[in-house]
Amino acid sequence: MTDDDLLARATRALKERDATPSPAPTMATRLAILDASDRERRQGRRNRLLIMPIAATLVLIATWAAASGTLARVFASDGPAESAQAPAKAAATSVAPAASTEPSAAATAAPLTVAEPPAPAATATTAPRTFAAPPASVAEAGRVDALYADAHRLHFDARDHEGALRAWDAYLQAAPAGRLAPEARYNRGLCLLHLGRVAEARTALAPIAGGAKGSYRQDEAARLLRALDDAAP
Amino acid sequence: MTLAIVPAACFENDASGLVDRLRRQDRLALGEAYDAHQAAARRLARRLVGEDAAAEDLVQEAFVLLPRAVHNFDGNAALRTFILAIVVNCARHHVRGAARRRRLAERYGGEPRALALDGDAEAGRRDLARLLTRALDELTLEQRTAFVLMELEEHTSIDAGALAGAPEATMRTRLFHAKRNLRERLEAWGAR
Repeated sequence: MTDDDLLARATRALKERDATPSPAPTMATRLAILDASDRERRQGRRNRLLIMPIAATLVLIATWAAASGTLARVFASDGPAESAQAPAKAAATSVAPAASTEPSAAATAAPLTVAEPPAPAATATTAPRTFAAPPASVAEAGRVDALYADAHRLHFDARDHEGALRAWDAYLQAAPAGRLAPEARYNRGLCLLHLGRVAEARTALAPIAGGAKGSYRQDEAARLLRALDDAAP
Repeated sequence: MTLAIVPAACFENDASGLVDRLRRQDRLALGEAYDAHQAAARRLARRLVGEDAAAEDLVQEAFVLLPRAVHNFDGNAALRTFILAIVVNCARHHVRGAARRRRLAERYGGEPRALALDGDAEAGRRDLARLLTRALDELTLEQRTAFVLMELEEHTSIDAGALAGAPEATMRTRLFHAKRNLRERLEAWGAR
């Protein structure tokens, strides 16, 4: 008898054994299957009932965040350097050569011929995040950024300090807590100095020098005020 | 005629719309699918795991999974083939559990007995079947599945490959190794 015969016989024997139907509890199994299926369906419905309100709440929150500008703020705070540079890009290509001069040095010599501060593209990156408060929507953000770029152009390119003063005021009115508002306030003070409105310049720079608006431009504003004091008769 | 060229599987699936109803989580459809295919599923399960109780659990698990799994059913095969494939997929831990129980039973009941077929032929065949079941426990699940599908269930290597989710050539190779290992075991245990 060969091995193949042995395996073939064993296989045949196993087939015969399994061919004899065992008294399978088919009905009990059927009921158990349907019962388990029902349970799964109920569980699925329950999960949907739980998930739907959560999903709806998330959608509402996301919609509110998008509409209120919170979403834009979150994204803006992820990349402050890039977003701060954005509005100044238009002006950055033609920044005045004096832009790199330290304001305090020039102010000490002649307060009314104040050197302009560095372009915001270089300085806005250090703006404290506590000032960040973007506008209501992305479209609004674009409009506000355009106001900033316009003021920057008038101030540093056109040297139109009267126009720039109005433009800075317009920007600050549109975004009093905007991420570039500290820079705008400081520039507004510079414009007032250029226009010879020293008292108003002092009033504008004093809160910055006192740190009421954070530490950004605090030192520069303080140096300007000291220079004004020294130059005063 | 149409009857000659349309596969039977198409009639099975389309005539009752069973698959569509299963996809819609129709409770009655699950019962109908069970009634129609439980015997084939139970026989395969019994041969895969080697005992009735575990086979019953395996059948139950396969049919409970069916309403969810049927969303992956593309209609190229018969629904029965699809259900048997679920049985094969679910078999792993049932096979392990059943094999473990058999080994424990043998440990307390002694080593597999050598066969004496000269006496009672019927008893000899039962012993041979029992010994082959024991030898199957020594195979890998893949080899065991190949042997069960092709030798016991008599599927072609193509069908077996479809059920086990493996290429046809792989199934033939697994069967070859399974047979060699089974012969070695049967010989070692004194089967004649």
